[in-house]
Amino acid sequence: MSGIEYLIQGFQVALAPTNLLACLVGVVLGTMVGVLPGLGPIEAMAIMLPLSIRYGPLAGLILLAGVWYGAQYGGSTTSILVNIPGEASSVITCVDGYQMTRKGRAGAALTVSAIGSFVAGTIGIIILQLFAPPLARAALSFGPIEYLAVMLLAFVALCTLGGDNPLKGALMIAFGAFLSTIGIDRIAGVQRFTMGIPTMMYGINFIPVAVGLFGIAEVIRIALNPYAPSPVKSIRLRELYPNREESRRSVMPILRGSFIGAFFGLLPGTPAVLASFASYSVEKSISPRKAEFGKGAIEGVAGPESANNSAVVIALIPLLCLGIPLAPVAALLLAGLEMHNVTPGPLFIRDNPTIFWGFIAAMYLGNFLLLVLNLPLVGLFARVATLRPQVLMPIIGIFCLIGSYTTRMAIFDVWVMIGAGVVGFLLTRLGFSMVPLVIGMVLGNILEDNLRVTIQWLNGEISLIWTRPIALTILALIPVYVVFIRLAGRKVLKSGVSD
Amino acid sequence: MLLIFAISVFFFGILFSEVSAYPDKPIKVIICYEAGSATDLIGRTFFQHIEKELGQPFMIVNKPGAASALGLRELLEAKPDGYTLGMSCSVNVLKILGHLPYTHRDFDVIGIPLLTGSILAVPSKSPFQSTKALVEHAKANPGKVRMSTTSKGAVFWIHARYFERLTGAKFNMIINPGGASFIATQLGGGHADVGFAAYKPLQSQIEAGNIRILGVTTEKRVQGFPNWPTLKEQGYDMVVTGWAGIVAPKGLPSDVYRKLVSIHAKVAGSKGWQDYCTATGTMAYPEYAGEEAAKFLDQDAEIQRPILEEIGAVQK
Repeated sequence: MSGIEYLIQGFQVALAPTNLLACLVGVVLGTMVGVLPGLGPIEAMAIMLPLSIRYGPLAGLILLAGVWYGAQYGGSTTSILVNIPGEASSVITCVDGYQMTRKGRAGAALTVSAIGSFVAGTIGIIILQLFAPPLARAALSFGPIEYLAVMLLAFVALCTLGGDNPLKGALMIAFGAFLSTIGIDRIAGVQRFTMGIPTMMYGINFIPVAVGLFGIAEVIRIALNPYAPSPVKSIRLRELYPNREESRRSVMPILRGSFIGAFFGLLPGTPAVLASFASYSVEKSISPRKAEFGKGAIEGVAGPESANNSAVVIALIPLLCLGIPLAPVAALLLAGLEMHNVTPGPLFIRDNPTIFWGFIAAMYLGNFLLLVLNLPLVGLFARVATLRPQVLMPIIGIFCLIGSYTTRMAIFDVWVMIGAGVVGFLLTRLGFSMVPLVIGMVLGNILEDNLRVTIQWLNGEISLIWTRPIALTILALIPVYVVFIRLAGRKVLKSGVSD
Repeated sequence: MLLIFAISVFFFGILFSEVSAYPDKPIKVIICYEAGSATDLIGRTFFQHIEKELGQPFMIVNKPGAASALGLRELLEAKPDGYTLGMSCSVNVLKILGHLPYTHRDFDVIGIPLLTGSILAVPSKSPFQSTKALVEHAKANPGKVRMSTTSKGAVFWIHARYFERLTGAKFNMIINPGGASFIATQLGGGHADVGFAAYKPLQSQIEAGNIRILGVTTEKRVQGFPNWPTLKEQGYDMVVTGWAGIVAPKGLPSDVYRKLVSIHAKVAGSKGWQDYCTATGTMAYPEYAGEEAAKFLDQDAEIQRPILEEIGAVQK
């Protein structure tokens, strides 16, 4: 039987009432989880796990995965509207998405984000459907040293996001990396910078920090500024959607983001977060309108919001085809399957064709459902931006408080969030950019873990690196990338000027 | 009027007797590891079985961190009424490790749902066909053979160090920032030479023919997997197990404690649970409930203590 026939069968399975309902519930719940900061897909999926078990392995998988990729759709909403990242993978969307809202282009940003998510999700599913087994084998050929090489490449790429002042950017990255070392370290189990406080053993969670740095800092900024009438007046329907210029500028970032996300999806840890950062970095580097980034460039929304969606779909490959959950969220999907004695692994597609193809078909349906559900909501959401600050800001404040509490149900996180808000406000005043700080927090941990495992692996014999062609290739890409980005940026800049 | 009175007394009586019978509301279980981790899977499956016996749903809450000490701290703050339980795989050594100033004796131990042997595994393409070949090669080339393990202090890392101590071989320990999925990737992809882990996380790679088993650390061969040789029969007297234990805050009412312990023993001995254990290469011991389970944890702590002391993980 060919792939197409399998897929048609898959659609027959996915359209069965239970599975269709699981898909709908999953994506609606995912969107809600995405919109709410703090409550992330992991928490929501853990809550849904016992329920999903009742409906068999396929419906359970469809439901839980729906929550996961649905959250990537919803995550951008609060980033764009009120500068609070709904998910870790939508942090970078705050930067340009919120500036677009301040210019009255919230509708356009939300629409582009939804369409980008749809396109990238679909591209991700096509890749999953066609190349899952070979990609899984490729992922298995990555050892510690290869992961380290990729993380170094990502680090170099993301350093270009340091802002206008490289020194201030580097300081912020270092500060973020320092924050990521707080808590029990995951290799040796040693407490670092916990000052003997039990809750500090958990470490400083990324979500409350991001919510504080972006959301609360903005509330403080607006509260301290004299009241100016909201720049956004009533929105006409035509203004809700991207104009021709915005659409044209979004096409390539969405496509590039889809493939950047697909690559990062194969990496362990937090693929969607890394993918969104990487996509933003690439878009900023090669854009002829560099100066617009940070001031409401639509590319800064289109790219990352696409990348995080394809990343979560591709992140299913190591789970389904290796049986190894590289991302924490994938571990929950594994739990859902294992409860039915379905063991994902290299033989999964062969042994469970109904589940695999039904799942693929359900993801196509889910992506379509998300687009249909999200586009009409754009008008409703965009209205939020027209609220008076006296009404909106207290709501945002409460939203931030609840969001940071629900992350781990710890009051400690609320204090972290408030502290991050004050620090973020002061640092922004002093001309520091918040993006390198969050990048430092995300990458610091991953880079450190991979470096330490690689050092153990090399065990003093640095020459072993010559036996690892993949790692060498990736390391060689670092200077190539730097040169390419410089040249590409300059070239596009010239052609942009001549336009 | 009298009739109404009689009926209301009757129903009130029913209501009252209902209240006094444990459990009359959902029970919260703190699993001290990440959702989707090996212990989480074991716990969720086991409590599904318990749920049927007790007739009340369980709310599973995952509180990972510090080798289960963070979740256990929260459990210690809960009321000892049987409505909050916890699950840990190292409650008996946390005091030795300095993560928590308490041992399992500061909790009411309900039982141990299952025990698992540690599997000594190598990539399929590995030249080592037996444990002996591996040990001899490792002894001849100290620090060259790469042993993939979980984070320091976790159970499979302890087993790896135990193996080193027992055989006198010196491995290049690759300590990973997390659980057995790292071991599965590194062995499956041939990035490490050998590793200790439970069967479940390695299962798909073993079935796909990427990972091969050299031995298992159980006393006898594991039921359902007669082709796994034990390390003991290969001449290496290494009988160690990993386990998952259910504990409650100290001072449960005696009827609640007895009910939980007897239901634990009943479920652990049930066919459904035995089948689950056989399929996952683990072992159920229904006798490890209540005081017997606590005694087992005493012994296990004594097995682990010298290893932890030797590596300097013990807090003075």
